[in-house]
Amino acid sequence: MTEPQDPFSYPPIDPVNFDLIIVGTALSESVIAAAASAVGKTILHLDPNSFYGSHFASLSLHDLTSYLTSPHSLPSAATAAASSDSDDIVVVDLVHQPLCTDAETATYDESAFLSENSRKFNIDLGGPRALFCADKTIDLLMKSGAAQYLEFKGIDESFVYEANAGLANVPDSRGAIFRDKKLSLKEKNQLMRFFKLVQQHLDDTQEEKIPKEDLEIPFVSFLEKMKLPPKIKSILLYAIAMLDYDQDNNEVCEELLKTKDGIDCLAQYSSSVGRFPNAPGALLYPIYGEGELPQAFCRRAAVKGCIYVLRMPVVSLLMDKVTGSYKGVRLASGQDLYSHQLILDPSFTIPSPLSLSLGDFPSERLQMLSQRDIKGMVARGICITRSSIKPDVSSCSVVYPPRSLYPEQVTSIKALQIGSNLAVCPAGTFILYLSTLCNDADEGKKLLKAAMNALLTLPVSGNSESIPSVQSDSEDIKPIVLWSAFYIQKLIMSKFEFISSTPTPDGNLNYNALLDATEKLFNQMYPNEEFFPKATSPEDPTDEDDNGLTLDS
Amino acid sequence: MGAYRADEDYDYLFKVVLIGDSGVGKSNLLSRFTKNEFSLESKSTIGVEFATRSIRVDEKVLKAQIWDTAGQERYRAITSAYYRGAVGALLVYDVTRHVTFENMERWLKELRDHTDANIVVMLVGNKADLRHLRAVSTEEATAFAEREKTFFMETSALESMNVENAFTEVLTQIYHVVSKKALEIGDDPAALPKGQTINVGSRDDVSAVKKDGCCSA
Repeated sequence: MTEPQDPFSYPPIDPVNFDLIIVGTALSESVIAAAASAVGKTILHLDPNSFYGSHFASLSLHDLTSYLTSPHSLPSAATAAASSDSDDIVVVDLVHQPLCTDAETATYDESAFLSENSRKFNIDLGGPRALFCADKTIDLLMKSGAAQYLEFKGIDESFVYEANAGLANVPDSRGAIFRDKKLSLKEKNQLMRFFKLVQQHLDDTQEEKIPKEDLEIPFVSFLEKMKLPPKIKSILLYAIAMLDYDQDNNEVCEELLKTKDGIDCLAQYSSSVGRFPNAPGALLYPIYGEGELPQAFCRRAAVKGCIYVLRMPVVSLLMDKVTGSYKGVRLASGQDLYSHQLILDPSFTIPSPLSLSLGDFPSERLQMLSQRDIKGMVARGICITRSSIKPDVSSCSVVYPPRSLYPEQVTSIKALQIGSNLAVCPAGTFILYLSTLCNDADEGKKLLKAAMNALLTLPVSGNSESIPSVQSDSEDIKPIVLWSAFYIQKLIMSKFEFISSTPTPDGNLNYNALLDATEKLFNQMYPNEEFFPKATSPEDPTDEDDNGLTLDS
Repeated sequence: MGAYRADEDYDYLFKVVLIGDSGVGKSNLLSRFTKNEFSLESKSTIGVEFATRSIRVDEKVLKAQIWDTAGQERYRAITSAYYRGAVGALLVYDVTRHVTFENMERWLKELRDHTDANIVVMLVGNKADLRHLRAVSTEEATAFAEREKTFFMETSALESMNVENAFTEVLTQIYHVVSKKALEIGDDPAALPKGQTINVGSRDDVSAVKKDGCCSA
């Protein structure tokens, strides 16, 4: 979108008092905007970007490159329009610290094609990301009414990467086990027996249960107790339960998954397979990209009266001089606005109070604001290719279990390929997303590049017309990478204070943990309000179908 | 031209979006066309998602699903998702406020950035009943429409002037585009050919040809 010459040419925002001001349109902020609007709160929802979604956005190729590579700092408030400071108010300037760092992008081939078709890309900043068919996100979309703005398609296949063997299907149903060509008959019987055991355990009509003492031991120990071979253990732990850390390595695994939680993961996965007749596997992906999700909730909030402003940074906090409590915010346009509560995007913080000359201001409360709860990092990679990693498969998920790429690999790597039938890239191209948890940038990028090299190849330098040689160890020809990006994203938890902040995208494939944190934050902010109550107003005819499922046949 | 018919059955469903500055009368155009209602309250649009109405063209029932902005245009915060799947658009300005006409160029660019090249666009100059307050001449708007290759009508939601005509014309033109495109479906790069769409709990498909219907042109 073209930026206007005067970025603050909007009319002044009216009214100036709100129950809640939200800065940033990421998924959590958007869900809270919709939830608070649904119970009648007056809300102002702003974003400094020209697009919705913050770090959950789906962007054109050009916008993505700009977002990753050009740091932006907050502008000063427009001095000409600035209100005179009240004697009762202390102004504390905000600092913007980008969540994504260490970004490197590279164009290997067809730069003219990529440039001309930039707008046909809807590339997820927080990818790889998808929804399970039995996901909490699906339930929330239906409960909130946001589902009406979205359409999904199923992810065609799920694979697990095996060292020296390439991609193997994840056998996630009886039919899939039966059809699988790589599992031995013995392995198939073992897996069938295990799934049946889990199914019986989950079935309330069955008396045979997994013993309580087994439910408390690490899931990996339980699988060993069941005498499942390493290959099947690996599939269950990393491709179905989607664990991040090597469960066989006590030094790196921060907490081993318990059996009962492992069973829950299997339950969600198995209840996802077949939930929607048109979905071939367990996963769904929104047409036009994951960035549609925050927009759906924002639309929902707007319909209930929430006011939306894009391209409007919030540059300062307004604090009560005597009590130190939050009063409001100052926009880049110079306008001051007030609210009872504030939610900030996790990329906003304030300088240490020691660096501020605040006089008698009670600065200990600001101390908490300047500290962010960083819980680690996610390394993310994006590749644009000209062919699929698996012939005739448009979209698929891939998991690289720990040690499948090299012996020191202690974390899983998740990958998701999306094709043009989901309107995220031009026809004839594919986007491959990669992510893994890491402790530093170099480690993370090394992992991602190893994963990329396992499936993709770079163009032969000097001759873009050359045909890549057929791999001697496999019948598949590796897709050629046209463009790639790698970056490191900080992991920050949500925080409830008199000024709250929301979580960043996490390393998971789905949104369950993130939405749990979001609902918890909503309940902390509004303990007497229900999260998306059922009540239907006559002015809201679309609520009639909230519980209905309609599927194209 | 168009005739009203029960919504239960249709041959085509077309998503049409309304865009333009705040206060030009988009919501009243919508309520006038779909419910024959007008409101003098000037409050920003709250509570309206979209409204539907069906008309008949060439023995086909065309169901229009017309989306309103929910007030998000006030501070230029319309979601890109708003435009998804739209095959028609009404670009609305207020004939009594020249600035709303000046902003048509920016709205048209935003529309073109987010929609298919075949979208049918109509420039609509609303509030034409306020003759003594007119600030945008018909000639000026006609020249803009010709330059930008859009249709053009002046309307009054208050007096019901041309509202029916504006929507009916857009729907008819969409029908012609879709009918022609159906013959060339193999060449359409915008089609999403593979994989079935899954609507988790939504009510209506956006701009779809009814499964049982057959295209004829």
